[in-house]
Amino acid sequence: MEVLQKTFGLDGPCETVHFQKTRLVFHKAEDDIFIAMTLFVPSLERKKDDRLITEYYDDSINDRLMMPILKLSHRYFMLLHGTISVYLLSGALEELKIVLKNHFDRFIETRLLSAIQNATIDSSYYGIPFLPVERKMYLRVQSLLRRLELEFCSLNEAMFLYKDQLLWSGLEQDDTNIVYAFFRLYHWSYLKNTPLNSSPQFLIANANDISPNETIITNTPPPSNSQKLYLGNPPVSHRVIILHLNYITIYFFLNDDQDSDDNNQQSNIALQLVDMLQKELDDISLGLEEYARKKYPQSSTGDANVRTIYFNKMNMAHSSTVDWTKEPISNMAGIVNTLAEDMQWFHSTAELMVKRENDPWVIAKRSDLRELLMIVNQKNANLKEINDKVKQICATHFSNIFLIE
Amino acid sequence: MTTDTSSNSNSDVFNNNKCSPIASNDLATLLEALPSLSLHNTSNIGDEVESAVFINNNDDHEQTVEERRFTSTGLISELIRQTSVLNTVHDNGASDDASYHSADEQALVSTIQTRIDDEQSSAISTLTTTSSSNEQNIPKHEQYREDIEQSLTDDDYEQLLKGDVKHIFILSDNGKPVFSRYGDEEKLLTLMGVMQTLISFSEIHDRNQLNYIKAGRSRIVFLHKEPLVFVLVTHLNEHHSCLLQQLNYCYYQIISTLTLSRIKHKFQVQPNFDLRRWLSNAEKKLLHNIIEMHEIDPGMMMTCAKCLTIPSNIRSQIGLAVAQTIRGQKDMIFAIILAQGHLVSIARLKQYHLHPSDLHLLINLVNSSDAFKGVEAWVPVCLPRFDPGGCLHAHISYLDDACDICLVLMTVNAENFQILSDFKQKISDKLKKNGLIGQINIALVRDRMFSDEIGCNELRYFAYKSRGLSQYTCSKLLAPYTTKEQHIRLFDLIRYVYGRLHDPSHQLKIVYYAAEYESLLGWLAPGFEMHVVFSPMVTLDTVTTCIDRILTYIKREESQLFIMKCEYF
Repeated sequence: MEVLQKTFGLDGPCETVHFQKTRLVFHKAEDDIFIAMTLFVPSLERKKDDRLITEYYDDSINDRLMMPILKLSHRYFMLLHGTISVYLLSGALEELKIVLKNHFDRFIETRLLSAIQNATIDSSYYGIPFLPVERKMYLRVQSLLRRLELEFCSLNEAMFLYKDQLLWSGLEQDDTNIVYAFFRLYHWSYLKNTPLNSSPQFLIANANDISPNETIITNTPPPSNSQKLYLGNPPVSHRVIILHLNYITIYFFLNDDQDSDDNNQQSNIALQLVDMLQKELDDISLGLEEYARKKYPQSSTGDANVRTIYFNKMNMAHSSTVDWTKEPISNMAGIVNTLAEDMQWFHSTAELMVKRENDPWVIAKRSDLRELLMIVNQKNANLKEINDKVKQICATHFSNIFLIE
Repeated sequence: MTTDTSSNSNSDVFNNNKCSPIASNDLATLLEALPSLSLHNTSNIGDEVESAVFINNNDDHEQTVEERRFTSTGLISELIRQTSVLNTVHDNGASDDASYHSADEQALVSTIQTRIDDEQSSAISTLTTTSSSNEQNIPKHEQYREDIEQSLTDDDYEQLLKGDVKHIFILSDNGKPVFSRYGDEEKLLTLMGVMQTLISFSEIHDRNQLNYIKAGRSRIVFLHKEPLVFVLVTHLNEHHSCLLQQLNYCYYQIISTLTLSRIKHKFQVQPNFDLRRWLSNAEKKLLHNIIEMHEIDPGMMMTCAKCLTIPSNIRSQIGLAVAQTIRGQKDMIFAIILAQGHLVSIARLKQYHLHPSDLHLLINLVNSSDAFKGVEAWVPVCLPRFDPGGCLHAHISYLDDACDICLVLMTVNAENFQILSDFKQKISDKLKKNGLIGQINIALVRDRMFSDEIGCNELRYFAYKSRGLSQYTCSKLLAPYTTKEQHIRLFDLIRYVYGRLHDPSHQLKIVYYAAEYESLLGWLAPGFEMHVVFSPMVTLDTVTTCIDRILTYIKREESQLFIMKCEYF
C-alpha cells in the first residue's frame, strides 16, 4: 500500500481497502507501526431466478466513522501505556506483546465492539462540547486552578468539566481531545447515570482494568501507581487525580517524579486538594447551574423539525442536537455520513442540499474548518424555502461562523 | 395542458402535495410541483415498449450488469438460425472467421479473408495503417499525450504516475501488462505485478473480491473480469459506481474488438498469452478514446444516446427511406445514421434492441478512425451488451462529401458486403433525391442555442435525459467551459452529483451543490433525470424559474429533440 501511495502520489496514506466481503481499515500509528482493523461487510442472502445470491452492502460501513475509532484505539493505548516505539527501542518486545494483548483483548471486548455498533457521525468527530460561560465565571475557575498550581509544585495542568462540557483545559489540543474522549468513554457513561453527590469523590483513571459495570468511583484517593496517563509529545507519564463533585469533574495532572513516588504523598495531595476546593466548587457549581437556567430557560432545543450538527476542526468544538435512535433520523444516518465524508473534499466554502423521496432535507455546509450538517424535516418544502430556512438557522444559532451567507 | 391533470398526477407520483394547490403559486410551492414536470413524468412511459429505440434501462444499473454472468446472450446465434447462415458465424470464437473488408480496391486485395486467428492480426493492421496515415487529424490532446510519452525518461515516468491525472491500467490474470493510459506499459511491469498480487491475494481468501482502496480522496478501483484486470487510479472524490462504469466501458471496448469468447479461449489454451499482440495501435486508440469520451460525454455517464435536433417529419422520412430499402433482407439487424456523433435515425429488426452503451462503442469506432472516410468499410464488431460471445458485421460509410453523416449497417452474415453496399447506394440516392442530406446538414449547422430559448443569464449548462427513451439532450458548452480543462472539470462535478443521486444505498431525488465556481442541481424524477449548472451566486428563485422553462421548452420541442419512434425493417 505504501508503494502504491508513493507511486501515484496519492492524496493521503492508504486508509481503507474495500473487499466484497470484508473491509480493512488501517492507520499508520507510529513510524513503521500500523494498526489495522478488519470488519465484515453486512450481507443478505436473496433468492433471484431460483438461485441463492448473497448481496453485500459495502455502503453500510462508513469509512468516515470507522477510521476515528481505529485511531482512537491506538491513542487510548498510548494514553495508558505510552508509545509502542518506546517498548521496541528498549528491546522489550516480549513485554510489549503481553501488554498489547492484555490491553486490546480487554479493549475490543468491552469498548471497541460497542463503539463500532453505536458509531454515528457525532461520535466520529471525537470533538468537544464547550461550555459557554460568562467572563467572570471563566476567570474565577481559571484563577482557582492557577492558585492550586502555585500551591502544589508537582501539579502540572488541570482540566475542568461541567457535566460533559469542557470549561477549561491546560493541556495541548491533542491531549485535551484524547483525555476528553477518555472521560466520555469511561467516566461519563457511568456518571450520567449516577445520582448527584455533593461530597467530593475520586474517579479511577485506569478504568481499562475493570469491567464497565464496576464502580469506578471511590471516596478515598486511589493508589498512585495505577493512576498514570501518558501525555505530551513524546508522551511522558503523568500521575493523575480525578475529582468529582456535583456536576463538576476536574482532572489534575501531576509530574510523575520517580524520586518522590510515594503513595502517601499523592493521597495527601489529593486530600489537600479536596479541602481547598470543596467550598469553591460548591459555589461555582451553583453559579453554573444558575447561568444555565438563565440562558436556556425551558431547556428546549428550538424548532423540533430542525436538527443540527456543528463541528469546528480548529478547536474540535462540536455540538449536536440529533438523537440517532429516533425516527426519521435513524434512517438518515447513511446519507448524513456520506455527506460528512464528502464535505472533507469540498473547496473551502461550499454547500450541498440533498433530498430523498419522502425524507427530510439534509444540508451540508462548510466554511474553512467549520462544518455544519442540518436535517430539516419539512418534506414539502422546496429548495428555495429550505435555503431560506438554512439562512435563518445560521443567523440565529451560528452567527459569525460562516463567511458567506 | 390542464393544471388539473398535472396536479393530480403529481400528487399521485409524489404524494406530498398537501400544503398548497399548485394553481395558486406554482413556483413558490414545490420544485416538483412545476406544471411542466408532470408532462415529463407521464410522457413516454405509456408508450409501447416495442416502439422504444433503446431498451428501457432505468433499472439497469451497472450493479446488475455486474451480477449477471457475462456470457453470450445467444442473440446472434438465434438470429443466424433464423436466417440460416450458420456457416458464417458460430457462437464459439465467432470472430475467427471475421475479416476486415474494405471496398477500397487495394485494401481489399491485401485484407480479404485474412484470418485474425493466425495471430498476425494483420486484419486489424489494415485499420492501423490507414489510420496512421491520417495523423494530422488526431485531436490535439491526443497528440499532446503522445508527445509526452515519447520524451519520457525513467524519472519522468515516476513523475507521470504521481501526477494528478486519472490512470487506467489493464493487465491479464497472470500480471502481464496489456494497456496503460499514460506511459508505456512495458515500464510498469513491477507495478502491474503488485496489482495482480493484490487481486489474487484477496481472492485466495474465501473468494473475496477486491473492490477499491481509499487514500484520502484518492481511490484505486479494481475490476476483475476474467481473464483481465482493470485498475483505475483517481484523485477526485468520484463515486465508486461511476469509476466502475468507466472501467466497464474499457472492458466492453476490448470485447467489442476482440470478442469475449475468443479472449477466453486464448487464455485457456495459453494462460501467459500477451494480449498486446492482439492490440494494435488502432485498438489502443479506441481504448484511449472511450476513456476520454467518458470524461466529457454525459451520455455515457447516464447510459443514453444523444440525438440530432431535427424536425420530426424529416426524421421519419429518413427513417422510412432506410427501413424501406432494407426491408426483406433477413439477416440485417440495425441500420443507424449518425451525424457528428449524434444519432439521426435508427432502424432495426423487431425485438432486437440496441443498448446505449453499445451505441457509444459504435460511435467511438466511427469517430476514432478516419479510415472509414471516403471508403466503404466492412468491420466485424462485437456488441457486448447485445451478445458478448459473437460478432456482427458492420458496413460503415459516409453519405456526404464532408464525411459528417455516417451510415452504419449491421448484419450477422459475413458474406453480405455486396448486398449492404448496394443498400448504401440506394439509401444515399433516396436521401439525396429528397434533399434529406441537406436537411441533416442544416440541422448540424443550426445547433440551437438553448440558453437563448430559456432566457436565463445564470444558466450555464444543462443535460436532460428522458428515462423512458434512454436519450438525452443538452445545451452547448459556453465559456468558461470552452477549454478542455474546464470541460473536464465541469463533468467531474456533474459526475460527483450523478454519483450522489444514484448512490445504490440511498438513492436521492434532488442534489443541490453550491460549489466554488458554479452551482449544480441534479434531479432524478420518475420520467427523467436532469443536471443543470448555474453561476455560483445564483438565487434559488432563478433556479426554479429556469428549470420550469427548461422543462416546458423540452416538452414543446420533444419530437425534434428525441427519436420518439423507431423504424423497423
